Amino acid sequence: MRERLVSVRSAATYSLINVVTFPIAVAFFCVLMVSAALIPLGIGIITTPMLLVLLRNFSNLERRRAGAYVDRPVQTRRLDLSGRGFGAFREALGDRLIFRDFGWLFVRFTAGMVLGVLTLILAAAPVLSILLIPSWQLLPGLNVAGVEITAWWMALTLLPLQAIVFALLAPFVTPWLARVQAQLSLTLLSSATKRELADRVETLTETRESALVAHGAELRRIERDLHDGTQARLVNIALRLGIAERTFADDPAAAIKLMQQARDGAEEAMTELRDVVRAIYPPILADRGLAGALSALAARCTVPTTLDIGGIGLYEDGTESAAAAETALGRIPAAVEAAAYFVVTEALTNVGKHSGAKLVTVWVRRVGDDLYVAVTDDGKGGINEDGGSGVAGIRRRVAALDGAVTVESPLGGPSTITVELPCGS
Amino acid sequence: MRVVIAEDNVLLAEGLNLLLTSAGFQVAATVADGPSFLAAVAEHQPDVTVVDVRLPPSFRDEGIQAALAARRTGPAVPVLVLSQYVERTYARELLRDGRGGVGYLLKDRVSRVETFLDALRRVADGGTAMDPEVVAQLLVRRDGDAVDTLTPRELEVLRLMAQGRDNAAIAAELVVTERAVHKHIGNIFQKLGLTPDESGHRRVLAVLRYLGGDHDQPTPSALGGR
Repeated sequence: MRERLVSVRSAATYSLINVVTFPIAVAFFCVLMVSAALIPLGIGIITTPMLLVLLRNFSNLERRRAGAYVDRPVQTRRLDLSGRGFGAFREALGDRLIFRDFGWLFVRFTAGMVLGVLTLILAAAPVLSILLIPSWQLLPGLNVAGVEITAWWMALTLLPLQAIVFALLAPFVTPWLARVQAQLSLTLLSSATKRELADRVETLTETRESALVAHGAELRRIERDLHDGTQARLVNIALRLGIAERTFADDPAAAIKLMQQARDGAEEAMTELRDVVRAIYPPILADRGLAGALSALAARCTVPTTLDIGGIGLYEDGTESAAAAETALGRIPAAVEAAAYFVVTEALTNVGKHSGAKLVTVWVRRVGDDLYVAVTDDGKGGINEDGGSGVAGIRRRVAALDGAVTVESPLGGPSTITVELPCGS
Repeated sequence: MRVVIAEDNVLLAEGLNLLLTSAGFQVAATVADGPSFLAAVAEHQPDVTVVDVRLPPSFRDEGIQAALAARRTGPAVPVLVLSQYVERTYARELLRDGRGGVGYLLKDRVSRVETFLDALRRVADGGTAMDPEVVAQLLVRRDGDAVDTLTPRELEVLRLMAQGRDNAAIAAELVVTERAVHKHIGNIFQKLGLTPDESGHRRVLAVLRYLGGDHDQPTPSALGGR
């Protein structure tokens, strides 16, 4: 009984706030519309972002309140605008949730209002019914379920009866109505629909699978290279040294020959090892970061290469500008760096071999969570992806990181390979 | 001859120590990072130094940076840089100050003891010693480069010259007379538009500068006579 009363009271409180803040919501909506109308005049560009920040605070309050009511924690999302003027305007409108906030505000004083008033009336009905008894004569047309009250006996029986019925209904209906309101708010305010999430999970599952396959193949290749190549060579070296040790006393000349062979073997093993290491993670990347590594790559290309990394033009050996470019790109996961380096290596090799170009441009930018890499040449174009060009390798490597590749290469050129690599977690 | 070694890998540091000591060098200090290298150079004033590219704490290119720092302040201390792999960018950074006395070799080359010691002595004497792989990278041809006009023999000579070999060594390597080498070099300088100069490393620096990609005119200090 006590619990029932408490649930009616909290449902009534929840609805009461919705109803009381109705004028605020309407006023806010109007101000927002005026502000939007003033955008062409320029004033709206300044005022709208400020109002949208307010709206976000308002909707965050609702997120917390509705979340608490249905006992489900809901993430609130701050709207922090770092830009000024038009920058802030674009930033505010670019926020994924801002239109949801706006929709919620509208529903808040339409359907939400109706539901709120209904909940309040139901919660108050038992008490109201009793309060009406002494004043029935002042309210002509007062009726209970269609029966008009025309005499004291009717007021004294029908109205208490109505109070009892409402009192029995309220504990069930009012919490339900309040919950409908809260759910409505949460649905309007939540960040992603289930459908979107399901799609995302599906693509992630696919790319993760191909990444795992690619990774597995890579591991096997490295194992094979080390086992069949380097390890076998080391055994061979040890063997030759062992024989040399035995023959040294009897035939020093033969022993020395064996030792020389062992040294040759060691050099070959080191060369092989270097290739394996380079395939795992290019050492120049570890030494110099992406900008430095790319400028080294550009210097080695047979076609003159211009670099534009994070808006900074790099020349060969430009150590200081490389540092600035590195800052412009921000933190990039090692796997993404390695992929970007691989893409540029492959693209430049292609350009050098097939394009007949006189100039190549490598362009790298960080946009939000994505790293963009574009390699453009002024060659003869018509990249043939089936002909064992490096593009297939680029596609595989980029797909493993959930990225995207675009190839534009009309016959007669110019050709551009653009790659988008997500850096976010 | 007194040497300071900067190598953080204990095995390799010990190996170098053994190798240099047995060849009659005096190892003044073996250090494992950039700052102690600079301190050791200041303290011992070595005739030559051997530096690993990768040193702690960052394990990036601390060795190159330390070597460049050591050469910026005071007299150009001869530096032979050892690396697990070659990168022309590093070679160019080392050669840039045009003062000679630099070398850049793959660590593998240490196993060819005589060649390695020869390179080290050349660097100590103010010459250069560039790994053949670095030279190969530096000789990447670009369309329209004057290098295209060189004959195969001249390219061969240029390659050896860029490694830091003198005329006698080139003649021995190619099994020709020194006079022939001299003639080839004259042709190369002419085709590349460089003024010929007989003094060891200076001509190499000029050639490397020209081939390295920044097509500035070689600076007079790298070309003019002493």
